[in-house]
Amino acid sequence: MPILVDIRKLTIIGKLIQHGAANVASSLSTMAGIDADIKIKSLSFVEPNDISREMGDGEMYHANIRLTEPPYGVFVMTFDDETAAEIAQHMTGQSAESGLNQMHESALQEICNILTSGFIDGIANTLETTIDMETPELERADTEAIAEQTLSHIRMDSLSIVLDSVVDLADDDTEFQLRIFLIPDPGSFVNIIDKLDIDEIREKDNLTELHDEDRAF
Amino acid sequence: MPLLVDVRQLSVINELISQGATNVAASFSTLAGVETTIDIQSIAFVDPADLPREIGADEVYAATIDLTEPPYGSFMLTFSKETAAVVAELVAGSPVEGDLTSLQQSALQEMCNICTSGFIDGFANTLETTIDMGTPDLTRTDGATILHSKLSHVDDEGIAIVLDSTIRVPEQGRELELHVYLVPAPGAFVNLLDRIDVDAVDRDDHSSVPS
Repeated sequence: MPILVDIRKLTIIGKLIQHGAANVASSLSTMAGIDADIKIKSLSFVEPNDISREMGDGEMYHANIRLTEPPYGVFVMTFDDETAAEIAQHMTGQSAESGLNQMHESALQEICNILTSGFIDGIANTLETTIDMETPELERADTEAIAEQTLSHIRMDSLSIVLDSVVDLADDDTEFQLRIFLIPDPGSFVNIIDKLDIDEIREKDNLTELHDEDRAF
Repeated sequence: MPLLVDVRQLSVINELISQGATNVAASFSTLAGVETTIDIQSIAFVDPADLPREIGADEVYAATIDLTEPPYGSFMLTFSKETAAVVAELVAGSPVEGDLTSLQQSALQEMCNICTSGFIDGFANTLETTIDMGTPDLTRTDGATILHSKLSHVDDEGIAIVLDSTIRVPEQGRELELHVYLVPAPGAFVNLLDRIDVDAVDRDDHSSVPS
């Protein structure tokens, strides 16, 4: 049986993701002392079968997490060697030109934890709930293998949301490019967004904007 | 009343957008007589009520048109004064000093015509249909005014697809920022999406990738 979603709810998906990104920015600032803007450059829907193609060719770093509460499914973040080296270098202040050392690797793991939990918590806040999750495990693998691992317990009629995002650091010219794959359980996800009302979300946005302005003055 | 679409059909939307954008680049190349590429910088689904904020408070050029065939609704292109000057120069061949000359003005209108029809045709091809349309209206105004004067009939209950794209003209080292807004009638849009065979669209996609 097909899973149906109200087309007008796509705007809510957009909002959820914006809120996830905003929360990542505040986690980065409070937990890692990094001031950055998180830009979601594009949101697209792809079929699960096309995920490995979306990830690109070759080996990538990836952090996979299974969500053990609604909307269930999997959250995957991928980035390439170049981005990994940039992040590691920025976090540790040590050159990563001759490969990543242990300190680099734990810095990377730390950043992945902050990014993933920040994002999922941001979505959960908007849903006025919490979403329990495991700690992501950072690995480097071929994209085909990542896709296989990611999809091992995913229904083929799932909806996958692919986000191209950029972490734009405030204090220098550096940008980290990350790709995020959200593959929720379709039934659970549709159920969640069905319950959300765009007007309520907009009201919340307006309140946050007011607060932001307060802070600015 | 909910307007339901199978979640698997949502991938069609991205296909529609990328075909539309590719077609815009091709049309623009023909018009300007130079090789151009188009990069989609961002894609978002927004609430039509938020469009003025998306468009911004500054005055922009806006080409708007109502679609008289499915998916109905409105299509709009917006671009800045700077982009307008670059286009006018590329197409009309004379540099812009102060106000646009009438030749430059018509070059701009022509660009809007071909980009609009390029996008809509790309859309229609993917849908295996045609979408008839006239020529867009080119005005210079700000986001709030555009919504009130041009998009007032747009259903608040609908969705707007917003694309920010960069058209590059490598030969001349020029870049143009073009914003594309599609606000379809939600019911008609769902209907179109529903009719497409996702696997067929995908197969076409694979075959068009040079191996």
